[in-house]
Amino acid sequence: MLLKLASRSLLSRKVNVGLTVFSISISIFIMLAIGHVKNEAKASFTSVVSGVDLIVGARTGQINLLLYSIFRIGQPTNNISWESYQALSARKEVAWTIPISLGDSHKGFRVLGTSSRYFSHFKYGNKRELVFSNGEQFNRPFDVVLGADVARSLQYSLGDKITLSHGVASTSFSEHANNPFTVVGILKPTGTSVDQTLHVPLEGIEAIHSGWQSGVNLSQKLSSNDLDKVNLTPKTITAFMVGLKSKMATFTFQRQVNQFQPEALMAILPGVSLAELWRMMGVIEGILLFISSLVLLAALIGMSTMMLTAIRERRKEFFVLRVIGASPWFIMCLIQAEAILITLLGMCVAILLLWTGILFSQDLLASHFGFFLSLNIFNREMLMSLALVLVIVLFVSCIPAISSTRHAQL
Amino acid sequence: MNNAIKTSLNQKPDEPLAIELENVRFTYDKASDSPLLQVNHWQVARAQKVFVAGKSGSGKSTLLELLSGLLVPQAGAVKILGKTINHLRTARRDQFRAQHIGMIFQQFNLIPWLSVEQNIAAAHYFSKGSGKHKSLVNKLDELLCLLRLDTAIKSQRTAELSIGQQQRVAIARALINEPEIIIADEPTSALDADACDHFIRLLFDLVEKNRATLIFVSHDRSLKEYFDHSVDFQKLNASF
Repeated sequence: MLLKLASRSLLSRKVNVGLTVFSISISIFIMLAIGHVKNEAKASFTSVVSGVDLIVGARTGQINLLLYSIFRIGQPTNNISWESYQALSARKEVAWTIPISLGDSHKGFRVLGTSSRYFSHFKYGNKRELVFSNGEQFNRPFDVVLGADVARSLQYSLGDKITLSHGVASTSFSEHANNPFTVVGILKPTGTSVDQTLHVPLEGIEAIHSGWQSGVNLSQKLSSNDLDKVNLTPKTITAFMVGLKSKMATFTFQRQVNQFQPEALMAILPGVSLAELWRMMGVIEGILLFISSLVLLAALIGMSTMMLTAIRERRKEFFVLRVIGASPWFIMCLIQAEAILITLLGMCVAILLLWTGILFSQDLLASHFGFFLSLNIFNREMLMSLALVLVIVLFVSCIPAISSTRHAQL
Repeated sequence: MNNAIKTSLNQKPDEPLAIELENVRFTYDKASDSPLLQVNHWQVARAQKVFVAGKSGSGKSTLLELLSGLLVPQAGAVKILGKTINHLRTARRDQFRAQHIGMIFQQFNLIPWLSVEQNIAAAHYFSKGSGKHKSLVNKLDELLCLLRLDTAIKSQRTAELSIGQQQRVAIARALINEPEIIIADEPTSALDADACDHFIRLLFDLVEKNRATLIFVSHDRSLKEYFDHSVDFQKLNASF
């Protein structure tokens, strides 16, 4: 009876109620959208690497190591010698390692020197493997595998020849022009920094740098015969990722790396470091959430005001209800129920708005920013915040509800 | 006292009186010394039709709200059907009103955004009557028929009805729970002479059929002759 009366009463005031529902739905939409984008950003951020137990690099800050090894942001402080890499890889706890060698670029995209294990062991998201949309992994020193964004924005296809630049600027004066690379594979989009990376074998990196002295190009074109003669074992790498046989050994191995004598190295747990990095960006998120909650509060107070004004007009109606036996408590509940119904309606509209918004912007975001927004906007946090809104509504609508008990007597 | 003797004609000996007021004192303004309403003694027997005459603004409506338990006196006892309702808790008093008292006003008897049927169903709901919904529908149809209303108006919103129709639906609303007491506050003031006559005859038929007690308040003394007896509100209220 209560809900029936509440909904009929709302239906009898369509314009007022409609506008209130609209203002509430906009503010809830803002709240949900910020929360959703934050969650998705966090998910795609923390999913840049998975299945890797430790990342090892020269001793530096853990955020710095994470930034240059995973996000290809910033510069490594120092390299790791090949011998140290070999020594650590040979430890009995280690299942596999992926070497990373950075420092070159191609038209603004970073070049990553690595081994073929990269394609079999590197995982992102929820333990997803890299998949080729075209071609296959590299086999020869001058093969290159492109990330999805690189291939798309530079319009490269299999068989194209490209030259790498020394350094990471988009216009470099020192090109490795003598030794062009051939595109042999293109990866499917991952929504991570892999999409913006060119992957070449460590041997290729070594080969184009052979003959360089102190950053000056004295190299010549290497024929395939030359390649056999030259020792292409790299002298240094930038960092390496480690997969352990047992997760139990993570901290033991981390300590071993940190205490490694021949060289000053450090090992980080990617998940922990990612979480720490995300926390640093949490300030902006906090500000956005604060603003959205203020907007929401304003809308709820607006609703309360609308209802308070209506109470005076509805005096007679409440009196009739009292006459036929409704208690003052029932009338308070009626007003609360109306407020809850308005809010629930606002929430439904907000969710629909968000879904349509995502549907329309999904392709745009995915193609321009490699950022995939999922339609699944519900999680525990989201439901909790919606429940919290309802609790606040109960408090805010107390004002008109209590006022009604005074007016019903007149 | 004369009234009290006359009223006992219809009263069965084992039945409590319909209404009994004892030293009732009520004021809105607690600071003032003279009360708005002071009734030393008044009683109404069962199945009586009593006319209360009085000018508007004399506190008649206050008396009716005290009888129905919408207001509670500062002192004294309001006994309805033998129960001292001003000592009941609010929720019990509201339920008592829903079950035993039907009220009709000059206007705005019905909730405008509900249909006729929903208005009456709401009144039925608050009485927590044992009757199931089907019996409610039957009872409503019967009432509408007795009130010369087309059952087709059931689904109409009450705001769309004429005032005459609204007042008759108000009778149906007041009687749906078969209350022992009907309180009518100037119910005919908004009606023209013909409609007024028609209204009173329909009301009387139903009141007699239910053996209900009717308290009818009006400033129009010409209606007095329809009733078993009448009371002058000015004489009833000792505070004047």
